[in-house]
Parts: sequence; C-alpha cells; structure tokens
Amino acid sequence: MTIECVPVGNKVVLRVSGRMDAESASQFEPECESCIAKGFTTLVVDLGEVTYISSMGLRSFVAIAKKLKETGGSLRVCRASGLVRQVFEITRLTQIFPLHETVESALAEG
Amino acid sequence: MIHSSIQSGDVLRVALALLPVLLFLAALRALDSYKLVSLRTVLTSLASGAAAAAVCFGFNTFMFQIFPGAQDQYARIGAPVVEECAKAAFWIFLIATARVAFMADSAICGFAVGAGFALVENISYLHLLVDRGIGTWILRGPGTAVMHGGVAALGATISVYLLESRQWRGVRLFAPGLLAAIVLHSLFNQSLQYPMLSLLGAVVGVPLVLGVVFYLSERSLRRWLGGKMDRDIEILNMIGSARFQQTRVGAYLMSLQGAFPPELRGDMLSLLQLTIELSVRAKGALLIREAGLEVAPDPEVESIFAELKYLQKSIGPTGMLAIRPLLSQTPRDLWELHRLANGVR
Repeated sequence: MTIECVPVGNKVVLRVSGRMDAESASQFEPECESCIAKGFTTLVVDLGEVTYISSMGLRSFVAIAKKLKETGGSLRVCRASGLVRQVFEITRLTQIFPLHETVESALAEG
Repeated sequence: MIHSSIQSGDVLRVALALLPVLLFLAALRALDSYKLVSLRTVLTSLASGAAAAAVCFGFNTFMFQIFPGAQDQYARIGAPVVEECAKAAFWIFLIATARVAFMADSAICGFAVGAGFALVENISYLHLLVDRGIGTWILRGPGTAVMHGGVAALGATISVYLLESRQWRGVRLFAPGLLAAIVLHSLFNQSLQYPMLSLLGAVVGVPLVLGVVFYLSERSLRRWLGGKMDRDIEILNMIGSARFQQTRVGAYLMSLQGAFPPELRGDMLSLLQLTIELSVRAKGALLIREAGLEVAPDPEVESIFAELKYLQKSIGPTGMLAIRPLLSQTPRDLWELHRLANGVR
C-alpha cells in the first residue's frame, strides 16, 4: 500500500493505493496523525486505487475520524468503489464520514 | 415518633448496604468500553435477582422451621446451594439464549442479579439486626451485597469463558460456574463470624477479579471482532468475484447442483450473502462503539431480516440443512443477530 499526501490550502488529500490489510493499515494511521500534527484539520482520503480494506483499516478510519472530530476537524472519504465501498456502506461507517464521488466534492464540502 | 425514627434508621441501613453495590454496578457498566449491556437488561437482571431472593426467603424460612436444630449448618451449606441456583436461573437464561456472549457482559448481568438479590435480602434482615449498631450493619450489609453480586458475576463469567474457549454446552457448560459460586458463597457464610475479614474479602477480592475479567473480555472481543470481520469481508469479496466457483464456498454450492434447482441455489447464495452482510453490519456498529462514538439507528435492518425470513422459507428445511456448513452459527454469531433483530444498537 502507498500513501501520497497532497496539501490543498488548509486541507490535505491522502491518495491511498493498493490493499489496506492488517499489515499495511498500520502505515495509514501515523500518516494521518502526522498531517494532523502539521495543523491540517480536514483530511480527504482518496480510496480510488484501494482494492481491499480489512477490519484494521476500518479501525484506523474510525480512530482518525474521532480524533479530528474532537479537534473540530473532519475526515472525508472519496472515490471508494467495489468491495471497499460495499464494506463502508454495510458497516455504516458512512454515518461518521460520508462517501464522496470525487476529490473535488470532498474538498468543497463545508 | 418512635416508629418514624426506626423507619429513617432502616432507610439509612439499607442505603448503607446497597448504595456502594449499586455504585459499583454503575461503575462496571461505565468501564465496559463497548457498552453492550442495555440499561433494560441490567434492570431486568436486578428484578430477577430480587424475585430469586423472595423465593429463597420463603424456602429458607420453611427449611429453618423443618430443621430447627440445624439452622447454622443450613446457613453455611444449604442456603448457598439454594440461593446460587435461584440466582443462576437468570444468568443461565441470558447465556443459553445468546443474549450475552462476552465475559464482561456476563459479569455485569451476574453482578446485577446478585445486587437485586441483596436488596431484598438486606431488607428482610432489617428486623433481625434492628438492635445492632450501624457499624455491624456496615460490615454485614455491603459485604454480603458485594459477595452476592461477585459470586454470581464469577459464575456467569466462567460459563461464558467455557463457551468461548471449549465450546461446551448444556449442564457441562453451566455446572462449573454454578459450583464456584456455591463454594465461594459457602466460604463467605462460614467467615461471617469474622465480619471485618468477610467484608475485606468481598470488597477487595471482587473488584480485583472483575478487573481481570474485563481486561480479558475486551482483549477477546477485539480479537474476535477483527478476525471474524476480515473473514466476512473475504467471503463478500469472493462472492462478488469471477473466481467464486473455485472457492470452497462456491465449490460447495456447485456440489448441490443435482439436489436443488438453480433458483433455490440462487436463494442459498443470497441467504449466505445477506447473513454475512448482517454480520459485517453488526461489527461496524461495534467498531464505532469501540471508539466511544454514538451509533445511529439502522433503518434498513428490519427489511433485511424480512428478506432473510423470506429466503429461509423459500429454501425450506432440507435446503437450510444443506447450507448449514456455510453459515456461521457460533453463540457470538447468534448474539449479534439477536441484537440486530431486536434493534439494539
């Protein structure tokens, strides 16, 4: 799994690609935390190139969403498709961070 | 005037005896990070414990009258057997019907049953200890109440542990926990002549044991949640993929080709997918709870269960028997389906 961070104003887009399984999911949380430490309060996670997500990955998303919520920020997820989208919808984690179709719509929200 | 002063003294005694226990019960519930035991279940457990105490009070009084010379022996050995069996009826019901599936939850429910029992028992003791000072009451009341809660909690926890680790069923599952509760209760009753010792044993020992139970339970829940969820996601992935027929599940469904018509095998696959989706849905709610966030009501769950019922009817008993190997039916699977079906978030 690879993660690329692209700052867009006071927000940051994290482009994730590959499989977000138990092993690789552990990279995701520190990456998000480092963005938060740099002062970004809105994180947009682009999942367009992610083919699989495990429970560990989902846990990381919930933990980051909670952290951002506590500091008045928000986590936005976009371009999730196939199994990844299905898992987000079935688990109803979308109640914490709604899914966006495009990076632009995720950046434009709020 | 005298009557009202006795009444206020009585209230103080009962409050002294029960307030620490109820606070301890509230603390147990607050400490549980997943908060899977509803307030309703806790209140029902308290009520069932109170009902068990009322039954035992009648039975014990009857036994004291029949064997007036053996009251002491009965209090030490007979009463613990009768009282623990009466208290166990409710926690056994909760575990046997998959309403409780984790050690921490069983400890909370067991403790609530014991606290309800202690409430009625302490009220019934008021007239016996009316001439004793508040000091005696402090030593006897909270100690006995914590003991009642603690041994029932431990009995229920042992049963859930055996269910989880050994997959035991029936009498074999519940006997060790019940026996442990009886033995500890009996030991406590033997030590009542040293009230300070019994009080210390209960108020130090019970929180220590329950602390360990909570730690182990949370660890086990996290492991199960992650492991089972990953397996469910894998199966969902396989069902949606072109190579489904090459998987174990796909191959098994193909092997039923000669026995069931295609439309029925289609329903079997839909049932499997829906069951897994429900399982993932329930675990999503647990993940949100784990983070301490609020879970919103699920508006779709009712229609999913209606569809599940329709599919089960369409597949029929023989078909259901054929796909049983594919459906996970562990006590925890049944527990999460029970929670979802009852709209428990």
